[in-house]
Amino acid sequence: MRRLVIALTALLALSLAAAQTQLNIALQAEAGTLDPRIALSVYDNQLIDTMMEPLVMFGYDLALEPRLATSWTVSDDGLTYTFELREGVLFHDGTTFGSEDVKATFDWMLDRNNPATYIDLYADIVEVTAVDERTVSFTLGEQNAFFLNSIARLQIIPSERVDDPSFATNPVGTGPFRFVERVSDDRTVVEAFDDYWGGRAKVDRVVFRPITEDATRLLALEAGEIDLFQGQINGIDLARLEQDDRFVVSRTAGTGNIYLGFQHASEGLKDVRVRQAFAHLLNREAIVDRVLLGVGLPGVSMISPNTEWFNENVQRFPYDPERARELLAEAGYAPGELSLRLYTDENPVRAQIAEIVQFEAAQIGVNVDVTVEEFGAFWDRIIQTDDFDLYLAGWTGNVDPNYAMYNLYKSDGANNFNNYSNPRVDELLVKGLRVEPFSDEQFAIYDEAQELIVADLPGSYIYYIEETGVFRANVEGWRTHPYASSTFKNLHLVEKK
Amino acid sequence: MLIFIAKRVLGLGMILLALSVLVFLLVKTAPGDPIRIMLGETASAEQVAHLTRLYGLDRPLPEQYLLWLKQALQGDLGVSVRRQLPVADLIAERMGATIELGLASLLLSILLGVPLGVIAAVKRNTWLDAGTMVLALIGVAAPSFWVGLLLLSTIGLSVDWVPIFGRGPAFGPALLELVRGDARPLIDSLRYLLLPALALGTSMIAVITRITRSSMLEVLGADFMRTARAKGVRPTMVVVGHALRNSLMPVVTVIGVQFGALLGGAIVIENVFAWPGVGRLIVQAITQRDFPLVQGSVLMLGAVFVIANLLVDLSYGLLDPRIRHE
Amino acid sequence: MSDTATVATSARSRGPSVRLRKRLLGNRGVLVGSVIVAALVLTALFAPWIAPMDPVAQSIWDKYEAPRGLWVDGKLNTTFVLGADELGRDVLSRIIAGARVSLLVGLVATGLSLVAGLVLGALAGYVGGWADTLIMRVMDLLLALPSILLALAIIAATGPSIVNAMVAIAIARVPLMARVVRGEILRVKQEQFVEAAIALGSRHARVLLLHVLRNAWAPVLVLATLGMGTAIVTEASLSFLGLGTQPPEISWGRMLAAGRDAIRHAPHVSLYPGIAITLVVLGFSLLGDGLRDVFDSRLGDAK
Repeated sequence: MRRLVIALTALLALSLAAAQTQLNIALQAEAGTLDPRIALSVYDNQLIDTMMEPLVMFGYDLALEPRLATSWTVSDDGLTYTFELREGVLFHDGTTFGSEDVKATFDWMLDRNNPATYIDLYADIVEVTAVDERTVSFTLGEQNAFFLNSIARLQIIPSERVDDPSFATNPVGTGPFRFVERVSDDRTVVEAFDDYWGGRAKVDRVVFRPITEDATRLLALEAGEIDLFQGQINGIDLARLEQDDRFVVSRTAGTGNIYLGFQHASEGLKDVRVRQAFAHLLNREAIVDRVLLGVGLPGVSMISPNTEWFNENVQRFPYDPERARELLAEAGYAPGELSLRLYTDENPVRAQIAEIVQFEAAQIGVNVDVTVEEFGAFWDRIIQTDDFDLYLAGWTGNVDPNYAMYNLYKSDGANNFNNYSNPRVDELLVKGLRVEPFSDEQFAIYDEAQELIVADLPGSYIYYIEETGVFRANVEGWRTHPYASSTFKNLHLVEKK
Repeated sequence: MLIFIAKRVLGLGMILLALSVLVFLLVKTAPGDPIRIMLGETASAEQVAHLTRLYGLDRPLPEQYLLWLKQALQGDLGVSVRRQLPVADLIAERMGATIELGLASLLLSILLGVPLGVIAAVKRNTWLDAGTMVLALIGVAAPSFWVGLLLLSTIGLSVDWVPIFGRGPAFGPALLELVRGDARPLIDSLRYLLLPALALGTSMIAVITRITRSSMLEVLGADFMRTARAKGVRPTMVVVGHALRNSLMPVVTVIGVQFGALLGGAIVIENVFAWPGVGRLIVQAITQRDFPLVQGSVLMLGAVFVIANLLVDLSYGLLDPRIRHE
Repeated sequence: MSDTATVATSARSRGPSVRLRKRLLGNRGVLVGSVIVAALVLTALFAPWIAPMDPVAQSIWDKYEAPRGLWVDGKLNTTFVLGADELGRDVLSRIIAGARVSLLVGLVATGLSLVAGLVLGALAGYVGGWADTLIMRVMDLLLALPSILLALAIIAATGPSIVNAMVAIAIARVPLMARVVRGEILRVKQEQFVEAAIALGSRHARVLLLHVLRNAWAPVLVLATLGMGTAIVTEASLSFLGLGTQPPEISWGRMLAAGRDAIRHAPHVSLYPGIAITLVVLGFSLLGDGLRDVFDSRLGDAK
């Protein structure tokens, strides 16, 4: 009886699917808004990227590739960036794309009366000028060697829609797919845009379904309800999927890391040897292996190992409880004398790591009090007070060393929560923005910065986030992107056989 | 009669108002800066201040409440800080799903509970009766989300056509499609409803079974039943015709009382089965510290509950004249 | 769980306690329920000694270890009897340790609601007038929301933690308790011996304590017992949603949530804590229902 029902259902489904190919993608969480100007999360951007495009985009090696801009130049003083825009690009509503759309989108972001979310990225821009139909230029107030990375993060919308308050419910862009419908918490549907400049997409429709529960998501994948997924996958399931011929697993080091932070104003952590002791107490390989089930890489510094910025000559802190014990003694603390408070938010992985740190510290006679706080309270404490000693936090989106270091480690950095200060580091971080991008000089600057910061231990890096994705074997042309937000930028090249 | 209704409706309005104050205050005392939570760890203080100012979150509390109330009465419950979408829209999209789940569960509970109770009563003191009663006891005690997980991992995993998450087409429109000749949407709708409604209804099925059974036993032993049998009415007819009809009143009472628990249970079940209802929205909103959303959704769900209770109250008034005149 | 609709009016006489004891022992619900509740209390009290393994010790090498059962290779086995969870911790030991949290939450939440309900209900019933109206209106307001929704709203305000969960659950239970107490006090207040005592000059407080409460205790006890079960399930639900007890404290509800991700390959992590919750709730249910049957001669609505 059951087989009959299944057969009938399949027959019905097939007859309806007819010639249309549909790609079913699971999202880890519901995207919030489809308006790139107020987009908040990775999931927002993943969806937006299928429908709207920025001037340049991050490639799989995090180098910038042309998208709506075909080429660009920088003035000698580093303050003016000029982009040549692509010809023959249409918006989904049929209008032509041109420099006025770029100007309108960015002008909206720069207007302080608008609720743009990430204004920091564009704070350097003084003016956006539409030089002619195909040329637009940005004038900066200060040099910023990594300005292009900020440009890569804003997708362009039509100038006529810039003041439309309902844009998010009916978005229009130049991307390979056009918006069809959205049923909140259930699905977002997009279909191929026939006049896309890069050629019509190979699939006709894509349906995005948010599934927050890991187990449910995997089950949906195995049942064939989902074709593709990028995001958090349990290590055990990942291993099982890698063995399964029906699926292909794609993984790459991402752009974020999780670290154990040290409050430098704390009496007990003032001595660098105590911080070094903690660094030696982190069994990074074991944590990656057992807590993360292999999904992640042992942390070394704030820079991801698969980027050219990575300096492998920074000080290393291998797991060595004996050494930790020695360092503690050198710093003048006998076992049982030192007591510290560790705070973390409710993220289950971090809660587990907190318990491990507590355990390891106890073995060398340091008492660590763990408090798992709810998210808001945790961030209130970290940001507004100095009332903590140790804390677990993460930093993601490290597409360049400036993003990874400036706000966190500069003495007056906007996100310097732990009173870390090193004047030489401050010097380097300012200089790094002023020199020629990707020059030997710049690499040398950030190499030195990494060495100094890692040795100073404002925090010890536990692991790098690894991006994982899985798809059915009959899907071709997709792989995981290290910068998770950009993972669906090339969905038009994906085929489903 | 009209006065009865009017009094009740007025009371409803006052409760809703008081509820709105309660929810507003609760949300405002929560720790954590909602803008900071929304923007995450990498945002700068300047970014946070910018949006805080724009969303009016730096104004004094009473002013914020009055503004919120004024907008709420016009149907505007604010904008979700996390999703940048109107709260009212987010709730409206999902309310149908929650009510659908609740009603489906209710219906399923009656459809399963009443026959089980009848069987147990008719076969009293046999193994069937004892077995049913034990199951009923467990059904009341077992937490619904655990039952949901069990159903998911057993039936959900092994039976292909039973999906393990999400919702199919809305039931109402699917029914219309059936009338027009297309049964597929209805079948889909029911497929997705099955496990969640079953999990949610577990304790209600159990309670209805027990009540039906005891009610039936009372009626079966009553004098007029003996009279009916003496008059020669056939046994089955006796059972169905007379006994059932007379034992249904306590069942209705129980349903009215249990409804609150059902709605509360829906919140948890929606999270187990990724059912896109208001319950799931509330938990997400609380986890994300999305205060406008928490405010609006708790208030709305509370309002639904209050209104439903009002309807039950009114129906008692209709059925029992004594209550009307108190 | 329905414990709202039928709360008894108490047995009038305190005199024949022998008869009461016999009735209690003769009631199956009371017997079975008491056994289960006693088992819970004993487990909670002696948890550190009963648990076969350390409930907190992580052994990441034993992650998701399958249940070994009581009998391995012909010998009694005490390691990973019910398997291990996502950090390699013994499930059975954690269930035993979790009994403490469940019992604690149940007792504190029920105790708080009992005290608050007694005070509020007594005030409303005894003093009457505006105090009665005000208190009952507030109670109605609290009852306007399903209890878990109210608890969630309070948690949203105060943040998830075991203490906040206890307070939230207590607040959700207070209205029922207050109503029952008030109802009982109103009923007993009319009794002639109470009027006589007041006429004879006994202070109101004394009258209240000695006569009124002594006669009203039975339905309150029933409500409290049933309330324990509800409190435990509510805490489990909150913890399941991640909004209740936080690590490193052990809660059955949280164990269920943690096990949900592994339900495919390690179903034991969710299965056994769920059985524990069911059993405990069943125990309080049976005990409460049984007590009610014993104390009661007729059913009535709490109004």
